[in-house]
Order: sequence, then structure tokens, then C-alpha cells
Amino acid sequence: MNDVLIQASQLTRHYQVGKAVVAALSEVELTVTRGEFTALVGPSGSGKSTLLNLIGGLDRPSRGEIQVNGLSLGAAAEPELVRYRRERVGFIFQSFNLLPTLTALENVEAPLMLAEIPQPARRERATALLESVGLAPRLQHKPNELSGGEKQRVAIARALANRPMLLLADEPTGNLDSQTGGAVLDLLCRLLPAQGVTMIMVTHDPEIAARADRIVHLRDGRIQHIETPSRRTPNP
Amino acid sequence: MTLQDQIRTAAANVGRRKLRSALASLGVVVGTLTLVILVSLATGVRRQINQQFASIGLDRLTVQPPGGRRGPFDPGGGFDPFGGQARKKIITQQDVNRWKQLPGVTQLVPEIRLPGAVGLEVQWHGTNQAVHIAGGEPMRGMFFQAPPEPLAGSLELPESGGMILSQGTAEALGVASNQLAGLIGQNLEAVLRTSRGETQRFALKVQGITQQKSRDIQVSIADRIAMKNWWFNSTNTIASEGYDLVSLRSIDVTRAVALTAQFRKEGFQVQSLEIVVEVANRIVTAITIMFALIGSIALLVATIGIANTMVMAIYERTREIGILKAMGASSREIRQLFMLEAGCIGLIGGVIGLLLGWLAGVGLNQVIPLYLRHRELPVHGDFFVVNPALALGAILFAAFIGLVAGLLPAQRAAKLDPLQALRHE
Repeated sequence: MNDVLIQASQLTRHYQVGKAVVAALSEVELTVTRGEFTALVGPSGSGKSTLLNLIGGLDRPSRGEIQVNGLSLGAAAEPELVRYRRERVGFIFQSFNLLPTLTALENVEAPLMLAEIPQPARRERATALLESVGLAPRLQHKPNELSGGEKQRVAIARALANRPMLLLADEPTGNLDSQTGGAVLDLLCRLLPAQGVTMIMVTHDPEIAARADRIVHLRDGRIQHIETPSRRTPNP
Repeated sequence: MTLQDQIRTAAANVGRRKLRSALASLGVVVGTLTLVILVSLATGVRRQINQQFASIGLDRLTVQPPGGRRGPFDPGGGFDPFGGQARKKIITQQDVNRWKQLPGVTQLVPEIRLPGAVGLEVQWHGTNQAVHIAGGEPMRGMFFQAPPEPLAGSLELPESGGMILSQGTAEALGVASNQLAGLIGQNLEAVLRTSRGETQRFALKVQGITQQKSRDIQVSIADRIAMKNWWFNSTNTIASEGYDLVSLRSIDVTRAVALTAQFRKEGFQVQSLEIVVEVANRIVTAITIMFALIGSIALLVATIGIANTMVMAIYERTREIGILKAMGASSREIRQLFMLEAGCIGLIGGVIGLLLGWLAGVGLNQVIPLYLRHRELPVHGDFFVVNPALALGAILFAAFIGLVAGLLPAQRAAKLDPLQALRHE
């Protein structure tokens, strides 16, 4: 079995800002193996979110190539990309991005609905996921009735709904205090290896980055160096 | 995403902003209301016109054998070198029986005409008076004629042996106008005379006297068959010649037109005032279309309200659209979601508008007869008629209007870039 999940070569993304062309990402070479936890770190504007969005199929490269699980995202047709986002990828955002009018349960059901899972199975799966993130008593609460940590846990459950192979997290603890953030991270580190999910996380926090298998340092749209923390935290 | 889920989600989204959805559908309510009231009025008026026409005889028609008026013995037919040739197609007793069973036929009277060459006289107290036989059908007042009133007696003929005189005939027989009642119940003799001088007498009892000044009598069909059989020296002219004419009355004007077409297809000659009916119906159809257009314009204006609401909703929910796209919703699903939402607004407005329009019609149907009674106009029935086709059509059209209104905003939502949408505050 091929252990390489993500293969990026000469990955470049330019943005047109007025008349100027801004290079958000230049000539990035990156390989990510399955089951790995990769942290993307770097100052603002270093291109880490751009890289994450390219991997997630929310954006397309200006030049170069990125392949995930054999699918070339730059060349893929729109329906293929839609299916890729729906079935292969889960997103977690700094600002949670829950649908405000839906309950926690309905939020987790939403991606299952998009995948056309029939209703009884949908409810069952969403309930099990929310229970696994410790939100069993909060199923019928709307996002504005939940705390920040609870919202992010709903978002994690939602991201895992369609059993993705890849979880993309954009500063998932950025809006949380350190204690809550730590708990969310613990949850991710507990859930993902059990399901064989590969995670790529953008973060500012060196402490969080330190828990990754690899830390990719970006600056000015280029990879500066890739660090492999010596201390590996064995899963309890 | 299944269509069922899309509809459920769209309906839930309509419910999220109740006041705004209600205001947006208000335009559709007014539009549908206008459409329903105007078209139901046109439908009611069409029904009124048909009823009024029916009351002057447009629901009646006469059927004749092909070339019926050019039979060998017909008056005005002139000399026919092939005189006596049989009719190509005759109206048989079976035809008459079958036609009686046709849907929409309420009354049917077969006719026998005596040839014009038949000399007919009425004899009373030694006075002979040449007369014509007028139609003896109980169905009087064909085409625009008011039903005749009897001067004396009744205008109902028995199966046979009866006779109705015109006032003109009675006077010619020497009966003064104030003694007409004395004729009723008297036996008269009708004398049939051929050019060779042969005569046959038929004793007939006077049943009644009409106001007509012309010199004619009416006798029952059985008596006329008997007279015709004698004239042709035949035992059964019905079998050989058929009926000369069948008058029939249908349930309404529309049915009369359909029956006309059917009889013509069977190869008979049909006379009716269908042209008048058709012109009238054409005018009403034009009015209906005009009314429907006015209502549709009101509905089209409603699209602006829906489109505005949808543009606002999409602006507000830009971020949600981004979230949905990140979760793997396709542009098509986003577009359908918003179009269905707009369609829902249209549908709700359509249902409410239909209900209000129907209620308004029911109310006006109660009020208008009061006015008509006040003006002493002989018009009855409903003026606003909401038939199922109109109800269904109005609702579907309102939903369609919603979909159309949602088209452009939904297209805009579908085209949103997921990244930009996610960044939207």
C-alpha cells in the first residue's frame, strides 16, 4: 500500500491584488504520509493557510502540482473536487463555522445529508460522533448556547462525519483559552489515530506544534525547514 | 443531497426569517388574488353567457339526412328528373334511439314532414280551408322564438288523433275570436287530397288554439306518419325514408357544439347557431386571456420582491454558503437550495392568494344576486367560479414565479468562491 497521501511539487499560488501579483505560496515541495500529524507554522502571511486550502481543494494552484490520494487537485474537474471535499476531507476552523440555525446534532448531520446518507443512519452516526466528543447532553443545543470548546468539539464531530482520510485544521485552538485548547487537542490526538486519519494543522502555538509528528516552518510562501520533534508522545 | 433534503432545508430556511418571507410572499398573494378573481370572474361570465344563450335556443340543433332539403317531394325542390330516388342515408329509428342515449342530450324529437304537394284541407261545419302542417313538436320556440301561449285549450298533443289550430285557421273556418274556446274538444276533419282527386279523411280533436295568424295546423307525429304512409301508399315510410328531421336539445351550449361535430362526422346535415356560440365563446376566451395576463403581470411584479429577499438572504448567509461548500456541497446543490427557497415563498403566497381569491369570490357571489334582484334582472347563478384547473394553475404559476425570481440570486450564491465566502463576516 502506498504510504504517501499528499504529494506537492513546485506548488505555487499567486493572488492578483489590484495590479500587483502577490505570491502567497512559491515552489513548495511537500510529502505527507498516511496517519501522520503535520503542523504548519509560520508568521502571518507566510502561506500556511493557503497551503491548507490548496490541500483541502478549496483553492486551486496557479502552478505546480498537488496530489492527494492519487487525485490531482489542480487538474480535477469541479464535480471531482466537490466529491473529494465531501468524502475525503474534514475541515476545522478557528471560528468554528457551525451553521448558526441548526442544533449540534443537525450540524453534524449536515455533511451526512450532503452525502445522501438516509435519515435513520444519519442520526445514529451523528449521535455517536457527538457522544465520542463528549457532547451527549448537548445534542439539541444551538451553537449560541454552547461554549467555545463545545463548539469546536461539534466542529470536530462534523469534520469526521463522512469518515474522511484527511482532517485539515486552521488554528483550531486559536479562539480558545489554553486549557480548553489543550483539551480539544487531546481529543483530536485521541480520535484521529484510532480512525487512521491524517491531520494537517495550522497553528501559531509552539506547544501545540510540538505534539505533531512533523513541523513544517513556512516564511514568505516558502518552506524554510521541516522539523521532526525528537520527543514522540505515545498515545495513552 | 437528495431532493427531499433540499426541499426540507429550503422550507426551514423560509421559516427562519418569518416576517421577511411573509413580506416577500405578500406580492405573490396580491398577484394570485388578482389572477384568481379575474379568471374566476371570466369563467363565471362565460357560464352566464352560455346559460343566457341556451335560454334563447343555442343549445338546440336540428339534424337532417344528407341532402335532406332536396328530397324528391320537397317544397321548392322543383322538378327532379330522378324523382323518387332513395336518400343515400336516412335517419332510422335506431339512429333516433341511439341519439337519445348520447351524453348531454336532454330532449330529442324526430320529425316527419309531409311533402309540399300534399293538399290538406280542414273541414268544419261545411267550411273547407286549405292549411299547412306546421311542426307538431312539443319542443316549441326553436331559435329566438318565445314559447307560444295558447289562446284557448292547451298546446299538448296526444299520441294521435289530436290537432292544434292557429288563430288564422280558426278565423278562416268562420269562428270569431271570442268563440275560440268553443272549438276545443270538437272533432274536425283533415282531408288529404292528391292531384288525382283521391282523398283520405282523418278525424282529429281540437286540443288548443295558438296565436299565429298563419293558416296552419299541428298534428302529432303518429298522425303525420299515417298521412305520409297513405300518400306514398306505403305501410312504413320510416323504414324506407327515415325521419325528415330530428330536433334535439343538449345540456349546454358547449355540448351542442360537440354534438354538431359528431353528427356531421356521421354524415348528417346539422343546423345550429353554433357560429354565434363560437363567436361568443371566442370573445369570452379572449377576455379570459386578457384577465389572466393582467393577473400574471401582478405576479411578475411580485418576482421583484422575492428576488430582493433572496439577494438579502444570500448576502446574510454568504458565510454559511462557504461552510456548505467546504463540507462538499456542489454549486448545483447551492443553486437548487436557494431556488427552492424562492419557490417556497412563491408557493406560500400562491396558496394564500388562492384562498383569499376564492373567499372573495364566494362573498361576491352572495352580494351580486342581491343587486340583481334589486334591479330585477333575470340572471341567476355564480359570477365567480374557481374551477380545479384554475386553482392548480394559480398555485403552480405562483411557485414557478418564485423559482424564476430565485434564479439569478441563486446563481450568484452558487458561484461564490468558498474561500471568500468563508472569510465573509
